[in-house]
Amino acid sequence: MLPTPDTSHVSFDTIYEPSEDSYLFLDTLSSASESKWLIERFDKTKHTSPLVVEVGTGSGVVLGFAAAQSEKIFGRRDILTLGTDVNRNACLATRETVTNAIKAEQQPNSRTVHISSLTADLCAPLRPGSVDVLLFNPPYVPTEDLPRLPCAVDNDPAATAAMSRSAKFDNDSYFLSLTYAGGADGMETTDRLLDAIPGVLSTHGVAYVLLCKQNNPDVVKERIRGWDGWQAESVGSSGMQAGWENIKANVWGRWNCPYSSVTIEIGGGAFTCALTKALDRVADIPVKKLTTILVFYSLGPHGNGMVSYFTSTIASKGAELLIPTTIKLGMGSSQEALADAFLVQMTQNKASIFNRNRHVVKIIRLP
Amino acid sequence: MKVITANFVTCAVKECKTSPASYPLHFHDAELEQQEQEFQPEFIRNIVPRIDWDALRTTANELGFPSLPESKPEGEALDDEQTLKDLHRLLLETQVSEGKLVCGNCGHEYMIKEGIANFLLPSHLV
Repeated sequence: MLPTPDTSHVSFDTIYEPSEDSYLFLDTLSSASESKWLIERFDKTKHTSPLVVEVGTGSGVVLGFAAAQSEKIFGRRDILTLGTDVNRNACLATRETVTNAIKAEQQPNSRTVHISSLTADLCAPLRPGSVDVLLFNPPYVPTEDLPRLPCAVDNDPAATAAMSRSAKFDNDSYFLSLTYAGGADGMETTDRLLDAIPGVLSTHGVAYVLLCKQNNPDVVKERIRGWDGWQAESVGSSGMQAGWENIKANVWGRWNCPYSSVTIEIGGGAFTCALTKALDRVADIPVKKLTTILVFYSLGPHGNGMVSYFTSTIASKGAELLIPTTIKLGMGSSQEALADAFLVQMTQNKASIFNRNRHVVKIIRLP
Repeated sequence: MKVITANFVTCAVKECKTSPASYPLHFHDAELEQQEQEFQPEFIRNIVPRIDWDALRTTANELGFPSLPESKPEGEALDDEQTLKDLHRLLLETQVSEGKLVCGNCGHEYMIKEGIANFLLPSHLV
């Protein structure tokens, strides 16, 4: 197995932590069939150095992998890589991940180049017709609302540094929501990217876009085949069998805890109550898919009652409670401690809220 | 960000895309850093054909680099080691760490901080 780029320097406060969907991307790009296709498509003897762009790089793990493994994936190392992300922290993280991954895997006399990480909305600043390979692991989870697009001031490091703890938490939650919340059918951001593809891809261009089942990949592929001169096919998939994992659960946990807006009574079970109410608010699809919930209560006489209330609410939504987990915190635990414990448990128990079935769809400009 | 980036970006404002004045974006107050990298002549040879030469000449000028040949090196000219070395230095070794990129059409300024350019627009321009 080819090594996964190191992301130990990345703080996941506002950045999506590499998860199974990221790894599906790596496996797809380096699969025997895809690398064979890419090596032929960008044949060194016929083509100039390809520009490989990842949109929404997050930690940079996917772009870092494509860069560091360029010889295996593209059959050449003279690749130019560029990343975009709406989160400036993600751009800083990506630059480090990609350059480190290249150094770890390639000799100085033959190295792929990372030309820049740009803070940008999708492909907005890219020159039309310039991108040869486009990679996108979108925010694909269906959500009631789509978070607003950040503007320049949201990424001002000085403003973040001056924030109170609760303001910072809200800010982190906002940026994390951008990593997964996809609006209607989980497709609102992906649709904008798809619209941009014909303009931004080169005459040899190809795009790889990850979709989950709720995005209706078959409908998306049909739509692309309806464009003039384009083809779309699934080239990688995961989760055909039943199984659970922690996809987006950690960020989901943070985002949906109505954390900064409620008073948490340690010992009173109010947090559990608030969590249940939060579940009521999220769109139907995620709640129906919710099969594992971590029950969360503190020491106190009413805790167990709240757990029953919580359990029955979940049951009434037609979901199952598979792994009830108790997190016990002492009197006076802070809101931060509660949320941190919650996140740890969510991750450790591999709680899953979504069916893991996902596809990497390849979108090809035909000659 | 490496100087070559300027060859691949344009103004993020939709209305500017069709205007020739929006490309290339113009560097203002650029602080440069030289980051030594091993010379890879083959790489430069494979990059040059895809470069928009006029845009690169504009960029090089604005950054105070000695002017590039008027026409893009092709064929034998790409075997000249000095030419390739100069391009290697400009395209891959030179980093813009601070400054801004300015659109020649709408005048919007994209700030560059610690080598990261910010192309997010204020809400009234989205």
